[in-house]
Amino acid sequence: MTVHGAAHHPPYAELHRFGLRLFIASEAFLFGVLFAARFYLLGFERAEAVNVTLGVVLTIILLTATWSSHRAAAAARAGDRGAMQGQLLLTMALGVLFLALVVVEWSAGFREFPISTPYGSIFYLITGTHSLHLLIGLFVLASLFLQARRGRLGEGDVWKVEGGVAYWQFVDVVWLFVFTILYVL
Amino acid sequence: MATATPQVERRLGASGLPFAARGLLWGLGGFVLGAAVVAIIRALAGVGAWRADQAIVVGFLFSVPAFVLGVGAWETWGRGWFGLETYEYDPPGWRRYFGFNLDHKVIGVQYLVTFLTVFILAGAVAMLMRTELMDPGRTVLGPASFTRFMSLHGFLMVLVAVTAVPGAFGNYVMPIMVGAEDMAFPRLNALSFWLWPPAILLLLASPLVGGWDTGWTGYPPLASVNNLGQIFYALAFVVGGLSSIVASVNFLTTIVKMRARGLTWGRLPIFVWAILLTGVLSLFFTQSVAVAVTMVTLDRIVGAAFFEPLLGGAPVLYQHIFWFYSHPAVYVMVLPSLGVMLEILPVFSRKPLFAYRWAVGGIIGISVLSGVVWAHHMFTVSALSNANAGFMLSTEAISVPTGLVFLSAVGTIWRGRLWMKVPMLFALAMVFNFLIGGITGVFLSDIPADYQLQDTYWVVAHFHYTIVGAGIFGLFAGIYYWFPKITGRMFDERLARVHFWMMFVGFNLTFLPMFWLGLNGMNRRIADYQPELAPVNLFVSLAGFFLGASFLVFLWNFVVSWKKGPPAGPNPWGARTLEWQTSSPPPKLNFEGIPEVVGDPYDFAPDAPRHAEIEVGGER
Amino acid sequence: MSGRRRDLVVTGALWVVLVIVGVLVVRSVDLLPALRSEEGAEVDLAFNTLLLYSIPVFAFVLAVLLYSVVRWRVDEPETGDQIRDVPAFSWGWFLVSTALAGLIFVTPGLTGFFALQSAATEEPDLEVRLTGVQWHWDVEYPEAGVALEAPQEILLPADRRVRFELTSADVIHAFWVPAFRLKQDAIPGETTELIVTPTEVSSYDADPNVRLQCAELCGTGHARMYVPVRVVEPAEFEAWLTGAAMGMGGDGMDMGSDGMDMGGNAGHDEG
Ligand SMILES: [Cu+2]
Ligand SMILES: [Cu+2]
Repeated sequence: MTVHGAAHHPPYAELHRFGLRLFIASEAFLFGVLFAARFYLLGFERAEAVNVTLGVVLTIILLTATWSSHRAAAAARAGDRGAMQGQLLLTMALGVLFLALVVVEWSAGFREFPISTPYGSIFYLITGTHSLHLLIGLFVLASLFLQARRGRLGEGDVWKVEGGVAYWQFVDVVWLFVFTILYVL
Repeated sequence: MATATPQVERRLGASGLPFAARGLLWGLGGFVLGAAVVAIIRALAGVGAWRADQAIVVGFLFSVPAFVLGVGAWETWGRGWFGLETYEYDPPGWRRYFGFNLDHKVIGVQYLVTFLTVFILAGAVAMLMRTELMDPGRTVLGPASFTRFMSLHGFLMVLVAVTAVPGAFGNYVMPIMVGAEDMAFPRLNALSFWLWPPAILLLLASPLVGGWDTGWTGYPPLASVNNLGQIFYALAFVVGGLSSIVASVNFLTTIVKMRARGLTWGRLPIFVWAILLTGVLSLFFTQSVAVAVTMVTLDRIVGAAFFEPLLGGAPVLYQHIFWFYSHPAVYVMVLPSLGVMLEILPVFSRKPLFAYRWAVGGIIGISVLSGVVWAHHMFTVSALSNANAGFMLSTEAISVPTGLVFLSAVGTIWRGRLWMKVPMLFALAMVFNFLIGGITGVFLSDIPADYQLQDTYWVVAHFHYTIVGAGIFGLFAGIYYWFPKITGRMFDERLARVHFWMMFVGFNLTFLPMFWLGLNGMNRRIADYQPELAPVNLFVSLAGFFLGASFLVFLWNFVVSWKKGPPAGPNPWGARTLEWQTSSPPPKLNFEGIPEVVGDPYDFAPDAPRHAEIEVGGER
Repeated sequence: MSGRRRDLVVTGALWVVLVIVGVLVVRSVDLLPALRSEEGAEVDLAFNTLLLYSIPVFAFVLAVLLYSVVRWRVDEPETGDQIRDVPAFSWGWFLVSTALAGLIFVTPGLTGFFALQSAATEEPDLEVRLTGVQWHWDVEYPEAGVALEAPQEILLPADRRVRFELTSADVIHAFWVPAFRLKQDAIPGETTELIVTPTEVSSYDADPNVRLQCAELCGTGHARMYVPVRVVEPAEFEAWLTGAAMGMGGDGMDMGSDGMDMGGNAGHDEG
């Protein structure tokens, strides 16, 4: 951020935190619409073929990733750059594992509930949208990791890590809803 | 972290290409890459490498980020993601408009010029449509091309209506009005603009693949079975929607967090309130239209079943999702312009904005209610279902907050001293036009009357009265009002008056008879009609050409005055809000010092304190 | 003080004049075309009531606008009266507009809606199935076993309650006979219905609004996706229907087909 000596200007972190909250609220509406579409099209029906075990595994992975991302933010606040990078790396690894399992799940799913069925359409749309967001989260974490390694994350940039982690955790929380309405209900 | 350096500029000079050109190149590369990815995946899956619709969708989705990086986001932003140093794009002269510039004033001008261009193009398409409709039977277009041109006109104009006023004035004027030196997130701001050129170019290219024929609403199943152009429409909607969301995060943060000291909510200029609520609407509703058109696209390109009845899908679901966005979008089109209107009326009446609190309450009320009225577009889906009654109630309830905007408008001019300069003419015309638009909308909200009126020219007339009569008139009101601020020059008053009267008379002569046409059996979106309706249609067409000609007068004045108009000075209208308390055009950081708001923006009493003091060279 | 009163009085007078002019204009211009169905009366009542209500509202704002522009126009900027609000007026405006919105919601809104709903529950005299097809209408009279593909004309009996069952073979279409006033979408995969009682003998040739017009954009042929309607005496209708049923001959051959493979059933009578 350029340091312009002049006008009234709240701190960088406050500004960005507010903007991120707005964006997350907007994203929540996106998933809200998708979830509403699921109930409009399918009522409370669920495909028997959905692999609930895999769903539970995916949920555990993301919950772990939520924890490790939380540790990364804490490390950033404490100024422990090494720990922060480690936790970021762990979080990203869990994210990649998650995506890999989604690919496995999809390739099995294509046979059981193809996209040409209403259930299949909704399933792939919602999990696909979620995975896309996870991918964006991965990109953000990777960028933070790179910036930290090149020493471009200074004292004043704790917010950047917190922001990236907040977005990541939002995507994790969305997964809990996805899991509930696609696997459990 | 972004530091202004001349390096980027030099690099530009070396290549001789403005960044916009490099963006197109990178965008093309991105497209090829995306299409190649599809081809490889298809080849691996053994289903034949080439499939046009899939290649276009993925190619375009790759080309947009590539384009944005190419126009300069790479240097100003992208490098930072990899921990590399970033530069600001800030060349002198005309080049500054052709790259990823972070100055909100540059971005405002980019929006203004881009969407004026789109407006003129879409208006030219309207001229073509009215030529076809001059008499029954075939005139110049066959029914197929008519339907496609109608769709193109409708969608381009919707984009103009949604984007032009917040894009141009929300960006240029609003930050100055709140006393900020720029928007909260300059890079997001530039991103929101640069997402538009790919979307617009895509739409302009859509006739090459036969366009699309669903109108701007894109209802499936028609949208699932027609030309490839439907995909262009969907992609443009998604990318434009992303731009809207990004822009609204920026507007909201700027207004909430960056106001000058002393600029309390009760002193906030009404235009800023309008932009604030517009931002709220875009932020929460835009995704839903992206979801709707994405689902149609998936039905088309991967055989999904969302709206395909034969596969168990539900076509009506689309309409719910679509209108859940698109009714609030109607207010995204109109609220900023109403804000412009209420900004102008006090200045040229030299009187405080009447019932300021009621007006703010009206704008908020409209926004809140607009989220619960969507199904009024769907009364005829299942005409007698009980849910319709609820939507009739919520829709008619919106007339109350809308009425408060009128309260403020007529209360402001009453006992004012009406200085009839051109911005004032436009603002007064808006009161008149929007009154007709609003009242005729009440007929549509009434279920029994809607039985006859739905999908007829009554609807066409009604929404043109609101969206052109208020939205686009507000765009021109704003252009004339802020032209001296943006360009530092004054426009030709005489030509501007000619433009106003041609536009006002032409507009009313064009659209007023359409109410009658709708009642008398002319349904909308048709290339042909019953011979009995010929005389009125001929009249409408001729009036439409007159309306179209008014914009030639405008264009001439706009271009010539921008280049050669006499200097306007900082405050030609004697207005009080902050943008008039700095030079025209304002300096890079908008003010020579730190503005502090100390008074009301609309207090025109001779002994009133100023709206704001600017501490020159002061330290906080 | 007297100046203020004069402003109010003149504006009020202007309002009254504008209302009178408005009523006269609305009376003299034939806004609605001839009505030819029983149910449509509710639609016209709603429309005319709303029209009546809207005249004073429109005239009020217009009167203030016109009077202000004439009375307070200046050539050089000059300070206006610094009035920020007149609470009584603002509250009055708010309450009156709320009351008006409530009024129109109840009547003609709800009253008309309920009237249409209850009319729709009464037993119909005749069933007709309509299927929208890009770009023509297929018509079926199931009770008589008559199915007509893309007929040149749709016959209906006068003074008989007709229940239309609507669906679509491809994209969304909509039923609209402008002279009947009613409109209902025909949606693929769903059946919707609409009940109409034509009131008098009429035909497309006499009134172009007696036509079944597709009202929902359905592609290239949408504009010309209409078919003339002919409303005849019940006896004549019965005779025609019986004849048509015999013509069907049990093998499903339909006599109404014009054998054309495109262009639908619209406007063959035009040049
Ligand atoms: Cu609406
Ligand atoms: Cu149609």
